[in-house]
Amino acid sequence: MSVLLDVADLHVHFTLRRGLFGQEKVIVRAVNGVSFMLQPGETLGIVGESGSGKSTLGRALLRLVPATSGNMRLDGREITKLRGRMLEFRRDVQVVFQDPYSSLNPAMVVADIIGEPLTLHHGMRGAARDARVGDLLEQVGLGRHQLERYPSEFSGGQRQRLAIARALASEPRVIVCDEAVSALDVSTQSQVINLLEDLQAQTRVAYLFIAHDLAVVRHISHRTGVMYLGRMMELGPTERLFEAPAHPYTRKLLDAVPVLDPAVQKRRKAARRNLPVVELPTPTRLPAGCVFHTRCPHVMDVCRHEVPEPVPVQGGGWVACHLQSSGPKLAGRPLDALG
Amino acid sequence: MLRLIVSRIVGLVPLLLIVSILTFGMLHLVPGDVRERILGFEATPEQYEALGRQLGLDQPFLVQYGRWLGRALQGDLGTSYFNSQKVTDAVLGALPVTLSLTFGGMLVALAIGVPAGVWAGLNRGGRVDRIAMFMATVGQALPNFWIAMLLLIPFAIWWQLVPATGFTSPAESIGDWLRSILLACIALGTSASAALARQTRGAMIDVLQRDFIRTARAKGLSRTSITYKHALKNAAVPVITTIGFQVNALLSGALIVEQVFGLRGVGSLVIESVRTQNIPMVQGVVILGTLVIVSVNVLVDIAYGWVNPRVRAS
Repeated sequence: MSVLLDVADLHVHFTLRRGLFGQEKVIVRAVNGVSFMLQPGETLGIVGESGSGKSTLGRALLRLVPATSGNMRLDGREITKLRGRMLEFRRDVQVVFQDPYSSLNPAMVVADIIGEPLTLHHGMRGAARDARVGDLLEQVGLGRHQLERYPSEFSGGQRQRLAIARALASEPRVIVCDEAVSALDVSTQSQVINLLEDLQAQTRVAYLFIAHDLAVVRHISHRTGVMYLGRMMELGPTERLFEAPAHPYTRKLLDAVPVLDPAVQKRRKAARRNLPVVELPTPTRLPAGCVFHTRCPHVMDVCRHEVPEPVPVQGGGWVACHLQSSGPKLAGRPLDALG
Repeated sequence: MLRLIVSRIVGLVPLLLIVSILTFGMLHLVPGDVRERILGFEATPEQYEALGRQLGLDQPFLVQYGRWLGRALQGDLGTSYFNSQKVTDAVLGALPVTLSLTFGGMLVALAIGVPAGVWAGLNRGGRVDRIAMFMATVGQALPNFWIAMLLLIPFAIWWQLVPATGFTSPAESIGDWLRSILLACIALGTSASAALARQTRGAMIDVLQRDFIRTARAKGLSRTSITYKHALKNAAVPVITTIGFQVNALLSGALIVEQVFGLRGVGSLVIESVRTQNIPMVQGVVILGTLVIVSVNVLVDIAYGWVNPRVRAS
């Protein structure tokens, strides 16, 4: 297996200053020791609730926020410490953001929005550049004769296609999709997802697909990682992870998705009402040991003191949970084996 | 764009009518009799009557206004009560002084305010930002006539680099003209530059947080390109609005500051006219002032269209 992107023990911490004169420093551990690999042509979904650090992970990978420690390698090249404009790296890693309104400069026409990376990375200008922009527009399913139009003349779904065309322009190896379809309505979502899949088949680009919509992630991702409070709790092949989750947090996350059967949904709601009310931890005050222990239904003594190490899971992937290693020793069997 | 300009000019007509009725009405409510001022206290009642008929003051309010309006539509805003000077001549003679100050003050404000705001916005929370915003607070708090006096003492009195009073027309000597208005423009531009710096900073911070700026960084665009090609034009919209407001503020500020420097502009003219109840003169100043301000607003709208394609399309 060839590795395109290798992220090892990545930390991204922010320092907040609180108090009247900023004398009190608070450290936010947005990403707290995350490791994963990405292969060419692969889609890795990243799910997790708000504040789990999934967007920060994407931004650190884009080098929009500095990594506090850890390593990121692209094709074996160290990219964590690159300085200056890092043009080669910028060409290889591109981004599609969530909001197609804020992500396109309203004062520029399509030819310039999509053409800018062409000029920057491939030195294209004039008619050659316009021709290439036309090709890219067709590739994302928009007509090629829209060069002189402004973003405001397009619908939300079309604007997201423009953002995708812009990301493709530099011919990147990796595209970070940060909630790239979350702002679109459902029918447009599926069109854009199909487009992303088609483009991947053509160009072998890899996606880091960050989303909170589990159905979308399940559809598009080859593998999925589950983040909670800056940590990766479980990562594995998408089907295995959704069918046989190995981490109690993954289980809870999947259970939070409403089901179509009203009777089942009613039972779930009742069960959820019986859950203990706990104060949710924040990335400024992380629980000791396993970060999930304050909300875990299977919490054991060891969870409060020791951070669980990742162990392999039957069916592929890995999980970081004491149930799997030092507790009842599920030893890689799915959580349902607890009975 | 053309439709926008035409519609603004058409909208000007009712606005000018309302403004003229209001000033005409208010001046009639001012206590005192203008005939006394012209003739003095020793005149006979017959002389009063005759003058009243001559000026049309014996007619009802609406007839007086109608007569004025009829002449105004033909470009004649009347004649001063006290000498035979035409109102239009008096106002057009005073206007260059006031407009020099207004636009000079605007240039000073733009030269200081916009770069300071852009710089502060790019370095949000940094030392430059904090110093600039502190200066902006001070600049907005100081009254412009006081700044004018503070500038006069060293530059005009101690070192005599510029004349303390008096206006030289640019037709006579560009250098002397600049020297005669320089201090006044700085005094005027200070508070406007503070307001502009604040707006520019806010607009920059707002734009820099948008995703297309993040994308531009992820593309590998240099910081300079991002600032010039992506950020500035989008930050310009609220700044242009502020410039429009500030022109109006500068125009009224100029009326006061020109007193400090003994420049005989529209300010002197209007204060003198109000004091002597020289109704045609006041009316003329207000009407022409309204025209200037509305023209500035139309220019602002055109500038909007230039920076914001959505306005252009509609």
